[in-house]
Amino acid sequence: MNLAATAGSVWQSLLSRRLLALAALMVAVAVLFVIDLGTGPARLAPAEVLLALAGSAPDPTTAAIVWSIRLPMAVLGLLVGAALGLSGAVVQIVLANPLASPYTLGIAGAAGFGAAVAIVFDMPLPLPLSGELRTVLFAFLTAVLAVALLLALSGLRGGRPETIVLAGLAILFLFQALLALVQYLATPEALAQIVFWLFGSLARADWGKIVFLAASLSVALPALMRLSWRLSALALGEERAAALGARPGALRLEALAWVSLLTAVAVAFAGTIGFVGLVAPHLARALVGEDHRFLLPSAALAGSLLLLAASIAARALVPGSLLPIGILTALVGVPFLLGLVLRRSLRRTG
Amino acid sequence: MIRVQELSVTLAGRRVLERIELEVTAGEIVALIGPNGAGKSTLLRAVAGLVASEGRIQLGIDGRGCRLAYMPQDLAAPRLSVLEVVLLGRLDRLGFKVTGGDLEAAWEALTAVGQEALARRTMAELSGGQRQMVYLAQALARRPEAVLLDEPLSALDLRHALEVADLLRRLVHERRLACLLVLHDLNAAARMADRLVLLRDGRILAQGPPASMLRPQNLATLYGVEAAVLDGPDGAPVILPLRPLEVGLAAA
Repeated sequence: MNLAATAGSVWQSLLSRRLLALAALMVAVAVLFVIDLGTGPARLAPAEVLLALAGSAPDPTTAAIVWSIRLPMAVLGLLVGAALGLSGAVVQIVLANPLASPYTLGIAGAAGFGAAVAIVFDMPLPLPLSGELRTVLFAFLTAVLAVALLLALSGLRGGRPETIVLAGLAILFLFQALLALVQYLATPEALAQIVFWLFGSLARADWGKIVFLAASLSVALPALMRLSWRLSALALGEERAAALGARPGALRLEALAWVSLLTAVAVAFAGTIGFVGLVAPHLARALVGEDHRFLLPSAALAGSLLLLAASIAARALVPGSLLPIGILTALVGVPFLLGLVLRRSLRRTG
Repeated sequence: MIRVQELSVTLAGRRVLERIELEVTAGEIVALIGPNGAGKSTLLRAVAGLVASEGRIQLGIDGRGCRLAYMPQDLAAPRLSVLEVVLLGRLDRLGFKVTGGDLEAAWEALTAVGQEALARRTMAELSGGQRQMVYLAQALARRPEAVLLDEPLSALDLRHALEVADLLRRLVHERRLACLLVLHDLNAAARMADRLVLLRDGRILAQGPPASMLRPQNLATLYGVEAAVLDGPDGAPVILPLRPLEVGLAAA
């Protein structure tokens, strides 16, 4: 066999292994999505859910439950999970830190502060917005403000990881302090609202949010995929990546801008849902390695997977109620994380 | 070829390199030797364009520029397959979808270092020496005309160090590469390099063929040690370090 043919066949076998893992993730997400649609306080039979989806629900209530509650929640869960998983993968490679997550950058803290301000203070707005939309808008705007601050601070020193982490931490503490201040000033009712918002929940899902988040993802994912070889080069270390022409400083800032946008949108719509952005990238890396052409979509899928699993668990654990999903993601995520850690250390000792 | 003229580098307010003059022609291996902190790695990084410098760095014939590969000392072991790591050597030409040309160049480089059997393995599974070889293949996959290698033998045991040294010599001569490298092992430098550059405190003390550079007096000035220089069985000098010199004498 000649050189090109041998190289080609080895490459094909590597690719098909990765594509297989990607396909398996897709199937798993699809299965959990269907299960998620089938669970909820209203005990609908699977056939009823399917009929309602097909547009021939047995009664208007079933149609309303499926189309206005369950489907939006499931789709939003899918998208928020994907946004957080994807963001987590990028943040971890960009900061060269496996413990980083989108929240390390302080964006979620800022969004929380924005939401709290909207809930507590009745500020006049030029737009006639409902209370809920106001909260979303404020959360999003403060998150964008935090992003601008982060990028400006990080850009000062050429986008070095240490600078970015420190700038993120400073922003996080700043907005945590501001949030505490707002909470201190809030009435007991407003305080309860803030706390509930901070838990993170898919219960506020509607089609408008879904379209907005889907649009953000469909812009950010291709933009990040275009950077995937350079992101993979970062895994070889700063110096080597720079010598190969990856331009690490500029790469970090560009990747962070996209990730921050995604996180800001996800947090504004669903509150702070922790752990997904931390664990999903590890799960994806174990499956497809660090070729970011495969890692980025896999991390997005793994994020969806974790969030749907948490959503199903939230309904199964306390039947009849909708527990905020943010409480459950960590409980579902911890076994995943421990599984990965143990598997790796077993392989090392075995 | 690589030509460096009046090159100075200042890092954090400290002059690390002072008016360096250096030339490496095609098919030649030039080794930088000197104590820790002499500025050897900084010189490589300056030529690679990774640190800001004053002076002139000319690459290629008449300074027209040439493809350069730089191999730093650290041997990161990401969860990437060996073939992917070698492909990354061609980062500036890689499209989202890998072309046959890129694959062929990567495979040829991997074959040149004799490691094509490792192609599917993950970097994290490899020994330090194997990673060294893979990164060497990555450098070759760029199809460079000049290579800058920082301690290319550091992770290797005796046998592998000999093998890589021979491989490097062969590749440099066959492919007419201009090769500038940093070596701590003086005996390896004596066998490998066509020319040695003695660097101390950011300045070049002397440069020339190994046999004329590796003299007890030079080693005393450079490292502050008393060393015996013996005739090796293959003609290259063999260094036997004996004892550190008194500080006053070393500084003289």
